[in-house]
Amino acid sequence: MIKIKDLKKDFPKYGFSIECRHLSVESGTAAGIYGPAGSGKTLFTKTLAGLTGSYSGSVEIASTELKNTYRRKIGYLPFRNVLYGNLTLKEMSHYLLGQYKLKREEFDLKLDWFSSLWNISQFTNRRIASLTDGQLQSVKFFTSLLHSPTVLIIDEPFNGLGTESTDSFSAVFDDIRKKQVTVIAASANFDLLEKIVQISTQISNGKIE
Amino acid sequence: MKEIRIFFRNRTVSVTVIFMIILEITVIIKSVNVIPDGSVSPFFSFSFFQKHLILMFFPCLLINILIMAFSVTAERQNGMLSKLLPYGESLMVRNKTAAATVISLFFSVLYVISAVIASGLKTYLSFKFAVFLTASYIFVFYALSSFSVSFAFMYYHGDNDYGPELKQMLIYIFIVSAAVSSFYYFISENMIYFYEFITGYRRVYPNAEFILFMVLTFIFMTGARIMLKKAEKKLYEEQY
Repeated sequence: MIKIKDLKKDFPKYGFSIECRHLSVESGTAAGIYGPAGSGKTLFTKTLAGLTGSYSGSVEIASTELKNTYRRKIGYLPFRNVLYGNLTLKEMSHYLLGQYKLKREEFDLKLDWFSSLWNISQFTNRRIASLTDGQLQSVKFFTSLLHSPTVLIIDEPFNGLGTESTDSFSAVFDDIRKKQVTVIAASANFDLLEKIVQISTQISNGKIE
Repeated sequence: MKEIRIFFRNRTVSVTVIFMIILEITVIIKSVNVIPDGSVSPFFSFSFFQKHLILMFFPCLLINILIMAFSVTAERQNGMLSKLLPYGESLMVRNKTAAATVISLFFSVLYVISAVIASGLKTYLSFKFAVFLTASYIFVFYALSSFSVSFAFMYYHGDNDYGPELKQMLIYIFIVSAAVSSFYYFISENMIYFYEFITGYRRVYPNAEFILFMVLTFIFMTGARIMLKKAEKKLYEEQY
């Protein structure tokens, strides 16, 4: 569960600030944040993922304040690729599992589950840098779920996805929600976003209505 | 070991390492039969070995530079990943340092021992020598790798996706070259009995030199620790 109260985060570098007076998302629920380009979606998701440092107000993740939350609880799917392009999906997954102190077998289990909804097994041994945008998005999604987070934050979920991939994405999205994962997804595409979330809210000039 | 794999997956790094290995092999081949048959004086052995020692620092220097130039700087783009992982900042900095130390140590020790064997310096062909050489280089390479990695994380901003700026590279090369040359000069002038001791020419290691050795190690380790902590802090405070 995520509870946000009077959140304010300034970004002097961009001359921008994020404000959210109240937002509460229960476990197993997906919330959508929509808004046009430059409205502050990415900065908001980064703030929730704990990437932007100190903030005022309160962000509670499973009853623990964000700054005290163990990072393993959060899964983040960023707009930009932060995975090592020179590694394959399998190698990257093993690397991440090692950092999370999880066993390598977890990769096979997660891959079986994920591939039943969105087939990524065909490119597990291909270097990440050689993947297409759609394939990369699926890989980013997969790796953000490797450590079984309780909260998943997604920035632009439909980035690079075609119609078929969007359906696969939605299937995974629904499945993780059934597993009681709390999801916050931010996108400029309101029509697509509305199909996969239960609650939605708008962001405009950094302010969440 | 995953960090080492990440280093070598970078094509520029791989090509440079291959070039360096070719360079090392060339020097080793050239070392064969350099020393004439017959008895060789300890002074000659020592002098000859020192020349190899100077050359030995090149792989270390090169590896540290290339790691920073092509790998760590490229990984500044992956800085966000470190902030998503538990203790990620700390792991990133320390794993890079450990990997750089292992690579430098592997290439340098292997090179020195191969050069000793190829040139027939029987005085240095002992297990004791190999152990002492490796042990002493661990400290040197660890400190140098800490410096390189800390420098990369602290002063490269990751805005440039294509690698470090030329000015920063030149500053780094100058600083590392000066540090390595000064270190080598200091060792040659002040720790003259070390190689005599580890090769068996001297049975007792002088107390003064031993104390100097320990003090140097302490300074190196403390310096390395401070630099790594600073780099971790920088990474921790960084916003994405």
